[in-house]
Amino acid sequence: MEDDQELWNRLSRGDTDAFAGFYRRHASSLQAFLRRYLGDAKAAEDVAQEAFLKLWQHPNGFNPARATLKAYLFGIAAKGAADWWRRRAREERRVAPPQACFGTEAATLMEEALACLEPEPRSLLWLREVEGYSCAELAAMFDIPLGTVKSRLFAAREQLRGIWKGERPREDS
Amino acid sequence: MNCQEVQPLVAALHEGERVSHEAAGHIRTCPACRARLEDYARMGVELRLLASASEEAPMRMPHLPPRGRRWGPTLTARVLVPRFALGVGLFAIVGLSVGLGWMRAQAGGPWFQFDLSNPETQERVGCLTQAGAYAEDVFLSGGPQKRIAVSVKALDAQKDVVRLMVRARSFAPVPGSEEEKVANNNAGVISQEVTDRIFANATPRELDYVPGRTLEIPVEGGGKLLLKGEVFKLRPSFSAQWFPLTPKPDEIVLSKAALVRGSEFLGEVHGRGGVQAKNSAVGICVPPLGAFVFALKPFEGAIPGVAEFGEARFKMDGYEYMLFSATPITGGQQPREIWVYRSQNCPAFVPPRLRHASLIGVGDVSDILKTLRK
Repeated sequence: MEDDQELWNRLSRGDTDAFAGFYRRHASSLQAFLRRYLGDAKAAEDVAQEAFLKLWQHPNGFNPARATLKAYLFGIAAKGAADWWRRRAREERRVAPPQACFGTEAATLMEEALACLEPEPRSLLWLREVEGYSCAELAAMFDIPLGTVKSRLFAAREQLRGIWKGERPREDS
Repeated sequence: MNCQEVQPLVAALHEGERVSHEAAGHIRTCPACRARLEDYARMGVELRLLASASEEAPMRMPHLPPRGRRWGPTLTARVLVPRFALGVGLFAIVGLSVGLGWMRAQAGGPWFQFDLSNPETQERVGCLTQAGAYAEDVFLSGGPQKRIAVSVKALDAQKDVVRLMVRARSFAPVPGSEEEKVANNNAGVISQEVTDRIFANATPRELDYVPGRTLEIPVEGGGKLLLKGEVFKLRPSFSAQWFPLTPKPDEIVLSKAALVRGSEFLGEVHGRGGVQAKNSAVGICVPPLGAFVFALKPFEGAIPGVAEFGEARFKMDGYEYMLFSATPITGGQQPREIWVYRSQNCPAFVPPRLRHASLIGVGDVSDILKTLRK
């Protein structure tokens, strides 16, 4: 498989075959990530398509020294998803409180537990555990310090564990 | 170390990092911390199982638009603007609007440019005033020993009508008085007090003037003046109507003329005058040399000279003379011949104490010569 730099060079030249190959390799995992992040299959598809289009139309933003091309794509998608959440929050004037998941019967399914997390920790945990991005790559992707990534991952894990095992969160957590 | 202190280190261990000897000892022997570590591992496995189980239906590859900037979406995209910036923007717009309105108010009304002439002497003066602003005070010749004082104020100026406040009177200034100096444009500084004194006995009249037509203004003490003018939105910088840039071939015009003999400056003629007659001529008085008459056709006693746009040259009494005018002296092919006559005396109506050059008449050359021979 060609390296990211070569692939990027081809994409920058407007090589549609290179784009099609890149799309086939990553579309499915990006869509899965966005579906977890957004909780809406249609929105996930829209944001994923937008992310691919942005990468195609603005070939100047990628820096191979900072992250992989896939991480760059996921970064674009994560920003698009954050915008989607902001728009939705404005339209609905509410965001479902995650605390509603506590105090109910012990959640046994990971899917249900994951859905109870806030979108941001949910997406961070997904990218770390499922997509296998390192903390450094996540820091570059979300443009936040490495320490912040680690502390947010720790908080996300603790929250998910509490929901998954049916525990109430500590008051000081 | 207790469990609470070790918690972040459990996460670090799960992340693949090494932890301190003390923390490792606690985690190894503490059932709760070991359970947490195992939970983290199981959660990762569960998440990956979840991802594998929920295989996404492949979505269609987007249509790839041509490369290059797409202005449409950029221009129509929604933009988030901070409330503070929005407030500052609105404040700036309101401030600018008020400022422009204030400036507009300061700029005042439209401008009224008009021409006053005395049909008896053919003297003509161009004036400019602004609606609602000051009155324009003008003095014209009213015949022997007489001057006409006229004050014109545009109260309101519209495109189709101009409301004027006019005062006009004929008077004979006492020789040597301040009034005489002002009336003959011979005062270094025009005193408002003197001007007010001259107009004190003139009755103000409100007259409506239709731009483009000629308005007859009655003069107290006898005679009349003719007014013709035009309304401008902005101040006109120059009016070809009052200072013809291209006089007709049979027209002669002097605008703020100056006469020079050799290298000697003889005088500047205040005001301007022009005429298009059978034999167009203009006469000026230049004390103490006397009067000069310039005409477009030869006549008895006149010598030839050459006029070229705003300049004329002629030789007389062994001197080289030059006449300058702010606008072309006559029209037609340039240079062209003109005729100059000099009289030792100015007309009788010119005050004998007059020291500066002045216009004595415009019209047919024979009419001007008559005034000189009286």
